[in-house]
Amino acid sequence: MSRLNAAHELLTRNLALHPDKVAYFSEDKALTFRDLNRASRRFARLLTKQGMGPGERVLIVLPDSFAFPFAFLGCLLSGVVAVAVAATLREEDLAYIFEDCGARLLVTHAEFTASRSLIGDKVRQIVCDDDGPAEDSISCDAFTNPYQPAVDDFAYMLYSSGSTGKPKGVPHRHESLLLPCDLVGKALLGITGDDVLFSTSKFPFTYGLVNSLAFPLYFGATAVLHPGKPDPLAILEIIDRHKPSIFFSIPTIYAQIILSWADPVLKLPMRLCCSAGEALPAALFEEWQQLTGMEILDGIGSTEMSYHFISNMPGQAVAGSAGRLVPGYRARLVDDNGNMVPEGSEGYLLVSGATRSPCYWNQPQKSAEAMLPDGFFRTGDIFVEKNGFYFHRGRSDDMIKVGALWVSPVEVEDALRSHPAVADCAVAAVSAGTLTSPGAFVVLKPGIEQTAALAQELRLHILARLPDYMCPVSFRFVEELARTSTGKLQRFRLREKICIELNRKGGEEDECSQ
Amino acid sequence: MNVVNELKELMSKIGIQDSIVNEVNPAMPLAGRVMDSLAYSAFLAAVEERYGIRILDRYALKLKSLNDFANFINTEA
Repeated sequence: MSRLNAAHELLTRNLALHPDKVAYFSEDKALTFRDLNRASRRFARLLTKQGMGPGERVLIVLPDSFAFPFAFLGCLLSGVVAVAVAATLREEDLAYIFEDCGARLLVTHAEFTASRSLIGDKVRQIVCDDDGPAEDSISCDAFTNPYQPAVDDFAYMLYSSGSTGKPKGVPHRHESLLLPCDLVGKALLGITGDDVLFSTSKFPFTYGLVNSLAFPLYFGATAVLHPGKPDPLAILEIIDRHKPSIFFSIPTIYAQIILSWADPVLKLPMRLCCSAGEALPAALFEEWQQLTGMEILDGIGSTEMSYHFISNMPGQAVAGSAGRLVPGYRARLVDDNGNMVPEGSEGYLLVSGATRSPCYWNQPQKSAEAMLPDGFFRTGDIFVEKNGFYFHRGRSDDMIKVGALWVSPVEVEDALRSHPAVADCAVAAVSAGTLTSPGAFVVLKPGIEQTAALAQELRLHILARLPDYMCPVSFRFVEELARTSTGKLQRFRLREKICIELNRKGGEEDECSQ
Repeated sequence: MNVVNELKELMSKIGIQDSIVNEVNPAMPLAGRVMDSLAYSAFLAAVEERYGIRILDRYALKLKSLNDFANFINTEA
């Protein structure tokens, strides 16, 4: 039994309807659906010429430029599993993923010398510029017979951060790209071919992949790509130039846009603003509404579920809530024993739906823990449900979301402990403005003085070893750390402690008490 | 030392280059010009610790420039 090839479906419907319509804008360049189809099919042919066959993995390390959809769709057309990872990934993570997925070919950008030298001559490489492969594919014929996937075939794989720091491969089948288009794109957002979509989340993240690849091709809409860093002024410039009708972003970016705008009013052309990646605080929702006159539609999804399974709907968004269950999905909030909790009580969120990944790649134990036999996925998030709306209340595993990226406290603690002044340490989520960030609690070795200079030294020590988003925003020196009787760190106690101290000084209750 | 200068010292302490700190216009928003989101979070944490105050959610998104921070600190601290 075979299933639809998502790439073939997405490409052919636009080729028949409007081949010369713009599929993508990137900086000052435009790409039509006709050219997208041709280049993707040439890429598929190039893969087969390189000896790649169905089920084999290709590692794609590309920026958000035209080359990414060519490579990704080319993989799917030829039955090769596209493994897409962020161009900003640490070298050690890239090396781990390369080994873990068993890629036989690397597709990367001419400017990404680190990824190229890291993987070196272990496998063949296709080197691209922003417009596609630098050579070879031009002379390739178009790939006309797309691979017919079997029921169990994987189409693509993305990586999600693990609580111990090692990324986990999350393989998906072809329908994981197509189903969210109907379940969310059509039913909730009402996307049509008239829309212009702009996502600040990049292709290798599941939110960005559906926003910038599945949605525009499924509906025949146009997407705007931004290969660079998503700083607020660059984003506002792109919005001004391309006038998107739907803007997909994350709370950190919404906050940065608000903070960068000095005037009391910001006029924007969008009909919808969507958010995901981390919980959207009520204060941020309200401030955005006050500044722009628009609501932000928050939603929650995950790499494992492909896209949102809980989302707000246009005109009905509730501040501080991730929204309602998306029709087509099922959810349960359960206690420690797996029993359903009553409405209004906190519970661990389990979710089920046809887009769920069947397993983690090469991780049978982690798969068994998270992917339950009854089809539910253990998200690791704690929620409360009231009148059908879900409210995020934290995590069950100490993981911290910073700018929609996961931070494992264990990794940061390991890096901190390698500093000669540190006897012990813990890293926990602390509140910084409306969002959370990692904060470090450090026990110094005897005789070491607590100074601001040492805090700065610790900051530089971390920045030399980890990506900047993992660096704690504060370093607090403490005498001891809260631990259980078995010696396990109680990171939530540290957060409580800092909130109590600051509230005593500030004299007010706030989000710390939630 | 006035509060704006103290805040500039804090910016240096969280790792923002002195050449950038010296050029900061106290009336202009910091985000996107002087600080990215990570530096901004570190700056908020440093301000809270230095002045022993808590910047609640409802104020955090209104503190855009050094002058905004200075006015807030003069009121709260």
